[in-house]
Amino acid sequence: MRRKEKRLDCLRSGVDLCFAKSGEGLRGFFIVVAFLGVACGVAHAASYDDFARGVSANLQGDPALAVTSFSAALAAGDLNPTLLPAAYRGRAIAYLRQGQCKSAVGDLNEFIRLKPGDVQGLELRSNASSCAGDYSAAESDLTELIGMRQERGVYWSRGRVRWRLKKFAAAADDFMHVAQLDPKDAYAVLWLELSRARGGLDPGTGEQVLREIGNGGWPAPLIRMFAGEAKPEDVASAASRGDADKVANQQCEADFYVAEWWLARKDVASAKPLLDAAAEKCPKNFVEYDEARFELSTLK
Amino acid sequence: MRNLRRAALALAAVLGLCAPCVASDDKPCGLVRAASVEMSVDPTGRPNVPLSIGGQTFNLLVDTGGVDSMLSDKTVEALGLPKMPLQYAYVVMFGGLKIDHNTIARDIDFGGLKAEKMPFLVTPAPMSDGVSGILSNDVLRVYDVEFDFANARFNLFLQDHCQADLAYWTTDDHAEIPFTLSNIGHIEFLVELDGQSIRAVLDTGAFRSTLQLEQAEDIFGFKDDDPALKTIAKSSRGNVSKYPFKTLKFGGVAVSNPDILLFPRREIALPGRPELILGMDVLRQLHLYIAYKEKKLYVTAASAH
Repeated sequence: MRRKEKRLDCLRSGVDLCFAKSGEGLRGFFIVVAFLGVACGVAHAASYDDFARGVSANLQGDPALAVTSFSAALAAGDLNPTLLPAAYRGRAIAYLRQGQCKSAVGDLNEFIRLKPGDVQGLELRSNASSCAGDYSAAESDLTELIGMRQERGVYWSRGRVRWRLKKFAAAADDFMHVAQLDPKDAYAVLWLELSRARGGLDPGTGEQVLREIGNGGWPAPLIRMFAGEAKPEDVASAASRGDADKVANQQCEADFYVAEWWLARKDVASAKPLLDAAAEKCPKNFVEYDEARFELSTLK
Repeated sequence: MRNLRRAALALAAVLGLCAPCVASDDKPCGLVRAASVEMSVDPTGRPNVPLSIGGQTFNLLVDTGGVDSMLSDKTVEALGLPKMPLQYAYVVMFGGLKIDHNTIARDIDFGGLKAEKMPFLVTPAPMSDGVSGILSNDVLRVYDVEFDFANARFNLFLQDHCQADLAYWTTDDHAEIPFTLSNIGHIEFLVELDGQSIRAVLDTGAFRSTLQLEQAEDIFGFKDDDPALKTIAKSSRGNVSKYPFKTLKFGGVAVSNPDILLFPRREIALPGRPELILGMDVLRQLHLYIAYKEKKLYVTAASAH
């Protein structure tokens, strides 16, 4: 059903906004809002209106609408050039949320062409490249980023990318930087030791961070395992202590890191069931969930 | 704080005196554009403008809902500027973060406006990537301010004009909305939300419009356990929620199904705020001219010309 008021223009941003004249109201100006597809179905929308709709859609968690809107804004050809980078970036973010990683890389290539050296663009493109399985490209962007800012999070990201590339010594170097920038980060030390183990390098003791978190605190047993001071049985036993939520998370981590410990010993048969368990049981927002799935994909 | 603001206002006035003062038309007494810069948007959709400090260009968020202009800690460190403790007051930001240091930046250039030095508060709050600080009311309120989102331009005009109709960009109908200016330079006016008149502040620094949950419950008569109230995020200080409001109206502008986040009082942590923070979800769809001296907003749709 279509509304009867005269329409000038329509916008959709989660809801539709239609700009219409009214005989009433201050100076006759009125913005009328209608539901999508009812009042605004055929009205023309300028490229900026599409752009604005895309921005709102991303903020409201609607990547499909964001892609459609930014695509319309870019296709129109008359979007203000200042807004072009933001349109490519916005569509790339929406593509990433939809898992369309190669499309995201394409848009971020455009974004970086328009804004060379943009920190956020490089960071986003490294994520998109990782997501698309192009870890070398991700490493390259992160290296450029580290040239501009030596931050903990960037070293973390490059360390994980290098770990996936099986550049274990280089990954260890990155995790060492993280540990130096944040001496209380036990997981940085854990990944440092894991990378050393996978790369056949001499283990460290994790002494400093173990002092920080205490020998009994989690994930101390994992660090001690890589340092050669504990066995997988000790880790399993430690992981089962604590309240139910804690235990579930600790067991997820134990499964993954013990699997890595076995892989460092070239024992795929012992590692595989543990990786299966981590991929099945770890919370989806855990690093260990992603990396267990990655490892399994390389074992096939 | 009062001294700091006085200094900032004085400098902002100096910025105006040093402007190239390009007249937009030949009529005497017409609008005089003091500065015009490109306006991009950050990933949260908020307006960013370039400001040069000592020859280096930094992107600043334009924040009509702020108090004084700020630079991030990182930027201050990168520029090697001194950080001086505020002596008599501090600023509290949305979320309760206290700002208690300031700095003086030198060799300022903003779209042709120049100043030898300019004070900034120093904020430890994280900013969007690529954003180095905030341009706020200490500068904005001594000019007329135009947000032309569709053409990606941010303009400052001198307030000394006699032009009555300031919606110069359009011959179409437009809205004129009178507002009051709070003592910290916030633009406040009454809006109507689902038939209830509430006080709103125009806030280009807010990427979403927000309402304080407890006030919303008082005004609209719903309770925490109302099935229409949907929790969308949880924090240690309470839940962030949404409520299916039907219509938001102000000065001839009406928005159906406004997307308003409800924050608990403890999360906002700002006493005495207006009920509604009108954020960029609504504002980016408008072309805004803020006549601070006349205390009037001129509004059209963003794409109107």
